[in-house]
Amino acid sequence: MTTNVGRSVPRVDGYEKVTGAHVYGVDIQIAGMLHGAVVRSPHAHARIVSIDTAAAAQAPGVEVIVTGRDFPFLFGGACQDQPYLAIDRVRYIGEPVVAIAARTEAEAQEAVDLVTVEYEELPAVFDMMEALDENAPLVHPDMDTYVKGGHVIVPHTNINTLWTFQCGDVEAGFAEADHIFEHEFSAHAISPAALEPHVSVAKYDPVTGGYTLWLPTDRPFQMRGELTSSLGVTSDKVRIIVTGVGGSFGGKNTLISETISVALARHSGGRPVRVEFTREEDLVASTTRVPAVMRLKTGVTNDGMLTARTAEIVWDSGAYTANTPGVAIRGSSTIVGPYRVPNVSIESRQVYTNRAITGSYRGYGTTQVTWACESQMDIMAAELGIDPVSFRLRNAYEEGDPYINEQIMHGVGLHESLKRSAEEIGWGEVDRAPAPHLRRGKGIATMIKPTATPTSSNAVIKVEHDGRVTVLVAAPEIGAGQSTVLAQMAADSIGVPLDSIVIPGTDTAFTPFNGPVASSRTTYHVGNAIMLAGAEVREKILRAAGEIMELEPVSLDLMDGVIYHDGERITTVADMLGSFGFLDGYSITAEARYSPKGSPLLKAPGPYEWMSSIFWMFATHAVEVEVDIETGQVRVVKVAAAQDVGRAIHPLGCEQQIEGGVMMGISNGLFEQYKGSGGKIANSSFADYKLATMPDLPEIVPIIVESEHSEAPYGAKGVGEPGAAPTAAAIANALYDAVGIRLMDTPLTAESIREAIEALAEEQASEAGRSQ
Amino acid sequence: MQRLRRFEYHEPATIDEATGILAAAGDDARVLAGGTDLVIDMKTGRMRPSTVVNLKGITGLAGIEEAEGGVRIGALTKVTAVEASELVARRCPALNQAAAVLASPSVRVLATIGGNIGRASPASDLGPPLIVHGATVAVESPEGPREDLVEDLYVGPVTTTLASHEIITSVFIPATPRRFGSAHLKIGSRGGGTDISMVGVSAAMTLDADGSIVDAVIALASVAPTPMRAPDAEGALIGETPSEEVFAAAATAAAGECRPISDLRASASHRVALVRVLTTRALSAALEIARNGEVS
Repeated sequence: MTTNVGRSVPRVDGYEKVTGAHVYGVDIQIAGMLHGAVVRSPHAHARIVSIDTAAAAQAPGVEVIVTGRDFPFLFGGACQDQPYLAIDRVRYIGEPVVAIAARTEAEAQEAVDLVTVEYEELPAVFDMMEALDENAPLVHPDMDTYVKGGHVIVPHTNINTLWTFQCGDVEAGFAEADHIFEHEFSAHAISPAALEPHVSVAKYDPVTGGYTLWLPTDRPFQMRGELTSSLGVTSDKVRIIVTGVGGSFGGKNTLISETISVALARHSGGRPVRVEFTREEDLVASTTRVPAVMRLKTGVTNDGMLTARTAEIVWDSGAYTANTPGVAIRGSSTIVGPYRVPNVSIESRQVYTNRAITGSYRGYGTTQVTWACESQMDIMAAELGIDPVSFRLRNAYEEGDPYINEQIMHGVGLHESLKRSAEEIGWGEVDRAPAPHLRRGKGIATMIKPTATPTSSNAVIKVEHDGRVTVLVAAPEIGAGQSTVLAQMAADSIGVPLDSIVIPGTDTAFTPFNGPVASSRTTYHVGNAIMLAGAEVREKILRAAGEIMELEPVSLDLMDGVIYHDGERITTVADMLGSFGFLDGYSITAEARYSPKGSPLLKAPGPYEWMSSIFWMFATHAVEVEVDIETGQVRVVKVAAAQDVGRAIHPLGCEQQIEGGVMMGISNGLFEQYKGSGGKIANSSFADYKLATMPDLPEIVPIIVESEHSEAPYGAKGVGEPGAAPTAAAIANALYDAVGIRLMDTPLTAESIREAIEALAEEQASEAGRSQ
Repeated sequence: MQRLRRFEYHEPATIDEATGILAAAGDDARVLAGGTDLVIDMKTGRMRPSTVVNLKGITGLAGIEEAEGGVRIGALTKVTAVEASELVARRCPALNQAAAVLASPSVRVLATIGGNIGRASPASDLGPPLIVHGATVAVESPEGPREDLVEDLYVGPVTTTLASHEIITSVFIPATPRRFGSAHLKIGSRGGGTDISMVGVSAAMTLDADGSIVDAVIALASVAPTPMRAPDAEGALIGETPSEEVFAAAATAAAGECRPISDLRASASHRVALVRVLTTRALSAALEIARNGEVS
C-alpha cells in the first residue's frame, strides 16, 4: 500500500530551510571556539626551507600555530599521499603550509600575513600529457611507499592509477567495420561550486584523546575512516556529527577544511576550532572535476552498427590522489556509452601534476567520458549520413542485453529516453532563427552510469510511545531530497503517516553504518534497508497489537498509523503504545542491512563481474540552441531531458534533480573554466569563475522514464547524477547542426565558437576558390 | 573573501563634513556609496583604506529630475532607479539600456551612478553612455564646487582626476537635439546579461532633416585602460548618409582604434571582433531611435 510513495509530498526539510532555521555547517557556534586560517603555498612545487611564525605568534588574538612537522600525518580516501599540512614539500599553489587559530576569524587571517616561509622551487609539471613523459618531474617520488587501496600504480612515474579493460577482439572488430573513426577530446577542470563553502568545527578531548567534528558531508563514515586510518586511532576516537549540508555535488566527500581544524584542535588545549574556507580557498584548494584527455577509435559498419572501440584516457588527479582512482576506473568503463559494442579495449592512466587537487564531481567521470563518446557519435552519424537519433537507437541497450562485462542489463529505459526527449524537442523540425545573424540547431546526447556496487546500507527504526517513528540512517540530506524520499518509503513500508517519521541527522556515534550519499545510491540502497526494517517494524506493531488487545495478529492491519481488525478501525499506534503511562511500555525496533552482494542480477561470466551494477542509469538530453554567428554567443533555447529513474518516489523531486543536472551541464559546458597558468588559478571568485545564472538558463522539460527493476525499493533507482552528463555534448551536437562547427574540447566558449565559425567560413571560401 | 580588517568609519550628515573628513584623512581614505566594489576590494585585500566615509547619511544626493537644459541625476541614485526612470529612458536611451545590463539585479539595487563613475573601471557600464551623451559631473571639495566632463575624468584603470577629498554629487546629462538617437550594447562571458562586459559599446548620432549624420559619438568599454572614445569611427560617420556600408566602415575603424588586452574574460582578438559587431549593431539601434524621434 503506497499512500506517500509516488506523490510529490511537501519536502520534510522544506519548512526549516525556507524559514532560515536549518543549521548548516557554517552556522555551528560553540562556546570558547577559536577560528582558523591557513598560510598557503605560492609555489606549485617547492621544498620548504624554513618557516618563521614568530611574528604571527605575537599577533593579537593568536592562540595556536601548527605546521606539518607538528601534525605529521598523511591521509587520503584511495591513497594516503596527502599531508594535513605540507611536510617539507609543497605540490600545488594553495597547499596548506601553516595553520593558525585565533580568537576571531579576522585576527587569524591577519596573522597569516605575518608568517614567512622560505621555499626552494622545484621543477613542476602542469600538463597531464607531459606528466606521462619519462623525464617529467615526479610529483610523488615515494608513491610506492604510500598506504593505498587496490588500484594499480606505476612506481617511479607520475601514474597513480592504471586500469585496462578488454572484451571481444578489437582487431577483428575493426576488420568488420566499414569505417574507422579516430578522435581526441578533452574535458576541463571545474568546481563542484556548492553554495556553502568547506567548513568544519573540530574539538579534541585531551583526556580521552578523541576528536568530535561538526561538518557538512555526504559520507560521514568514509570521512571517519579517512581520519581514523590516517591518525591511527580507533573508531570511538573520531565522532562526526553531520550538520546541514549546503550542497555537495561531489565536493564534500574528503577531508578539506577538516585537515586544518583537526590539526589546530589537537594543539588548542581542548578548545574547539572552526575553519571556514573563503570562496577563493574553496575554488583553489578543495577539489575540482578530474580533467581528461580521451582518444577514441571506433569501428562502424555502413548501416551504422558499432563493431569495436578502443579508448585511451589520461586523467589528471592534480597534486594528490583524493578519491580519483574510482573516476579513472569506473568513469573510464562508461566511455563505451550505452551501446552494444562487442569488442572493446580501454586503457586509462591517471597522473599526478602540480595542479589543484581533483576529485569527484556529480557523475563521477561520466560528465567527461560522455562528452567524448557522444560527440564522436554525432561525428560518425554525420559521416555515415545517418540521423543521430536513429544511429543511437540502432546501438542502444535494451532490456536483457549484455553489458561489456556480460552482466545482463535489467531496468533499461534508454530507448524511451531517446525517443521522448527527441519528440519533445521537435527532432527533425527546423526552427527559424529570429534574426539574420542567428542560427538555430538541435542536438542530442545520451549517457549510461552504474552505481557503486556492492555497497551496503543499514537502517534502524524505532517506534516511540506516542507513535513517532525514528529512522536512523547515515544518509545526510545534501539538498537533493534524500530525507523526503526516505521518509516516504519508511512511512509506507510500516503503514504510518509521513509526518510521524523523524530522521535525525547523522552522528557516527549512534547512527548505523552507510556507504556514502554518492553514486546516486541512496534512494535504492538506504531505501531497501528501510523497507526491510520497516516490514519488520510493521509486523512487530501488529504482534504487539495482538498481545495488547488479545486478537490474532493475522486479523489485524495497519494503514496510516491506524490499526484495523477485520477491516474495522480499532485503535491507532499512538493510542495503543501511549496507554502505558511512564513506567511501562513497548519499545518496537528493527534493524536491517541491505547489500546487493549475491544478487543474481550481478552475475557476469569472466573476470569483470565487479563491474556489474545493481542498477543502471540512463539519461538523454535533446537541446535546441541559437548561435550568434558574429559573436559566438550561444543561447540554449530549450532542453528536453529524459531520464530513467526506475520509479519516481517523489516525481517533483525527480524533475528538480533532472533540472538541476541540466543547469550544471549548461554551466560547465558553456561557461565554467579555471583560468591561469603555471598551476596558478587566476579566477578564484564567482565574479571571475562563471557559473550559469538564472537568465542564462533555458526552458527545461524534465521527462521521467520509469523502467521496471525487480529489486529496487518500490522500483526506484537513483536520479542525482545522470542529469549533468549529456548536456555539453548535446549542445556541441546542436552547434554542429546550427553552424557546422565541431569543437573537441570543453568548455564551448563564445570565443572558441566564433573562431571555429570563422575558420569554417575561410575553409569554405578557399574550397570555393579552388573549385572555380 | 576575508573578514574586513580594521578601519576608521564615518557617517557625515553633510557634504562639507564629508569632504572635511576626507581632506583630513589623506589619500588613504575612500568614500562608500553603494559599496558593491569597495567592500569587495576591502574583503579581498585589493584595497585597505584607513578611513571609510559613508555618504548615504547625506540627504539630497539621490534622485532623478528634469533640470534646465537637461536631466540631473544625484550621485547616490541607485542603478535600478536609473534603469526604471521613464525620464532617462526617453532622454538618454543608451544610459537606460546600460543601467539595465549592469552586473546583476542584486548589484543594481545597491550600486550608484556616482560610484560607478568614480570607480573608473575600464569595463564601466555607465561610462560609455554618459560619454556619448556629453554628460558632466558636479564635484564638491573644501576648495569649492567644480564641473567636469565624465569623459575627462578617466585617467587609467580605477584612476580618475578626482582628488581623494573630492566627491561627485550629481551627474548632468544635457538635452539632446532633434533627430538624436543613442544605444548601448554589451557582451559578457555569459549570455544572460548578468555579467561584467567583455566589450561594451555606446553609440549616439544626430541626423539632419535630410537624414544625414551631422554628429556621431562612439564610446567603448573593456578595450582600453579607461572607457574610450572612438574618434576614427565617429569621423567615418559624420557627414555620411546612414547605410550598412557606412556603419561597417565605422565599425572597422572602431575595431582598429580600440586597444584591448587579453585577460581572464577574453582575448584581445575576440574583443576586437566584438567591437566590430557591437559597433554596427549599436549604430543601427541608435539610428532607429534618431529616425523615429523617440528622444524628446
